[in-house]
Amino acid sequence: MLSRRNAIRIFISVNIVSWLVLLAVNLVNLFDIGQESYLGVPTYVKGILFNIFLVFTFFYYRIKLEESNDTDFIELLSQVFVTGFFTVVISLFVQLVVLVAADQSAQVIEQLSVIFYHVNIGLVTVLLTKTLFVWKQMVLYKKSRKLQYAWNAFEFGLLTSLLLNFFPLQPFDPAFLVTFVLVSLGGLILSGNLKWVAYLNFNQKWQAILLILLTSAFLAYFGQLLFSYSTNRVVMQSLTHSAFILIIFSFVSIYCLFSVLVILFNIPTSSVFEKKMKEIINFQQLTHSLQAKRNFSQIYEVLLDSTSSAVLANAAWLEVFNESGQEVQTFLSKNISKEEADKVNELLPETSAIKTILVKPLLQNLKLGSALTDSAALPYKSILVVPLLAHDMQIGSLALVRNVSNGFDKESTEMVNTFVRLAGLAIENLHLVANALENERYQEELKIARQVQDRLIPSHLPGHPHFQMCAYSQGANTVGGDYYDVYDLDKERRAVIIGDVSGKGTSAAFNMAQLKGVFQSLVEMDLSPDLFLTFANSSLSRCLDKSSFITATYFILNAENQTVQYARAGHCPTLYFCSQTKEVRFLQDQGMGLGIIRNERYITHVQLNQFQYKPEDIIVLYTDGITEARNATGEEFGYERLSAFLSAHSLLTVQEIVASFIEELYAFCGTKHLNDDYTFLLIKFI
Amino acid sequence: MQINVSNDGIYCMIKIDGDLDASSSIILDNVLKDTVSNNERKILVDCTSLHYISSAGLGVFMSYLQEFENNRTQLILFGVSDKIKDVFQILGLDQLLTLATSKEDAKLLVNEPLL
Repeated sequence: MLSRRNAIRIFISVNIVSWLVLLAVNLVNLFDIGQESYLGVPTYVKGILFNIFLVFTFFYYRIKLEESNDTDFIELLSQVFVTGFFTVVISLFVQLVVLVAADQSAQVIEQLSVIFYHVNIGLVTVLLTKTLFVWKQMVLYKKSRKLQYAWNAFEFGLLTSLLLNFFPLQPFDPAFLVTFVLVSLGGLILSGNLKWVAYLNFNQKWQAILLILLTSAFLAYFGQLLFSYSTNRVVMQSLTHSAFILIIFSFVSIYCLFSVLVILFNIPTSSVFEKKMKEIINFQQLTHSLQAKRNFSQIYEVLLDSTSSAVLANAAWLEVFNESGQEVQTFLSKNISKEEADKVNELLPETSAIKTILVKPLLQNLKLGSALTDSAALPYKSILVVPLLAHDMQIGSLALVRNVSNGFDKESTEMVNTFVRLAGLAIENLHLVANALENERYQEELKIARQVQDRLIPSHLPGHPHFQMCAYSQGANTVGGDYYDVYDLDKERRAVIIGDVSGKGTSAAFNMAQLKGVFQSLVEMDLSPDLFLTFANSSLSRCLDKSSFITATYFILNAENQTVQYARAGHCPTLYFCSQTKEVRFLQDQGMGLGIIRNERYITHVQLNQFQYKPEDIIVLYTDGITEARNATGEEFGYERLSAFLSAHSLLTVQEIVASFIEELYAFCGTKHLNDDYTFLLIKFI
Repeated sequence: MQINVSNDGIYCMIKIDGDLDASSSIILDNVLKDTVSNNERKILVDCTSLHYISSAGLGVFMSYLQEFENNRTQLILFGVSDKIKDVFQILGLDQLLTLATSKEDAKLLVNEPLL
């Protein structure tokens, strides 16, 4: 298949050649009038040449204008205008030449006339064909399949009419008439497709009218020229005898007429259409805000702008509440100051959607009336208030005011409602995205905190000839860290610490690391428990943050004396089982958490305790994750259950006691996943 | 959780309803910050509807103790449930906070000059 460019080149050359040949033939024919022709060119040859010229012009413009998906109609109309302009100018110029040569011999005049005539044929054909195919683009704008078929049928009809050029027919021959009427009718029907007019804005409509009127003038010029030839005896083929040309001429002219009329009649309503287009663009903008993850203020701005222009509001304001719904966090307004807006807000009746978080969806057209205009000197006569909803909650409200009464009709209200809902969706989206990100970050943080905490607690408890120890410690995902550690001061004495760190996530892990550091460095100094805690409090006070504190109990187990010395820094009371009396009780003593009193007065709140133990005695160290563990009904595990358990299981080995305790704890809670960290450390004396 | 602050000229009354967990303790922190900047010298905290206090909530109270002491501000809690009283006691905060049984007692304590 030929490429487009080559096809165009061929068409142009064939066009020019056929036109020249036709010219030549007719010139020669001139000599034959009244004489016997030795060339004897029959009519049908002239018909062929003429047809070739027409057909190739037809296809040239068809291809040239096919691929431009131009929707710039003014541009297209300008092209037609320019073509018309140049063809008319050339035609006038040639006419001038003929006039100038009026004093030449009749023969020369006749020759010039023939040339002039052929030039005009060319010009008219070019203008009409170009205009035909530009009109084709307009007709087929936003086409349907049926329309495309109809147009193709029209073109087919046009080309068929070319056959008539072979016969020397008069305009009123039946064949001619029928063809002309049928195909023209097709053209008339197609001329009803003027959708492109609606897409012109106001200025463009006036430009189009001007261009079309001028084009019509050019067409009229050529029209009268053609008709003048039909009486000229010199002319061999009158274009008025060509159905093809006539049909195109009538179609093009009718379309000009229809276009001008339709544009004129559309001008009053064009503002409505443009408004609709603007609303659609606003919808698209809002939808983009949904997808592009913009920030909240951009959503608010687009919402305010689009709604106020959609309903022609004289002023508008948007209030967004803070999280508790108590105050206005964000205030955006158009054509009105905050003070004025507050004045209007005050004058609204109590049931206004602004003041309550009620579900009433829309409050429309409150007539503010004279109360407002007199007292506040504000010109507003009607107001539309719409609550801004996200996550089924009212997060703000939008108010629009107009200077006319009953300024908001049903359509405007619906429009604003839709915009507000879209904005609400966009806001919800942003919230969800922000939450998801925060959540992810939080989970990561907790994961790291967990890993850190796991490293700070001893992986196993070293055995001891005089103390049997077993511990179970489990972290929760959400809250602060438990801590325990042991250190053998010498062969007979072991220091044990248990602690609970306040705070969440990484800050709890840090605090626990600080406690571990303090323990590791102080423990070797072999201080008595009250001194240990005093020094611990002192260093922790310097490095804990303002509202964090740590509870701990520090023990020194002495196998030689069979004593336990300890001091309790605000930690849960230690549980003690006396093997002799079979009694279970919580050790009572005074204590103060670490980091609460951050000066030298701490020591006055620390109490040093000591007691003697017997073999088979047990002490249980634990954190509040145990006692505060809840079951499904919200009941806490509590101290009583703890002591009852120890009472019942005191004869087992430490491992067995710990294992069955944890089982019982899980059974009570109904799950293995508790909300808080919990630690259970059992020491049995041998 | 809701915190209501009211002022009757002599003392500042803070009423806490609900659970004082990690997120709501931030609100309490802001409230106490405001009392400091408003130079309140007598603060009563109504804990009759306070059901639960987390370590974060305790931390908030505790963080203002030194400042209140420096400014000679009186902080008195009343209507504290037994459970929360136990928590204070284990932690040792009962030695630092003044607890009253009822609003009237609290008012009486507040009107006594600081010793």
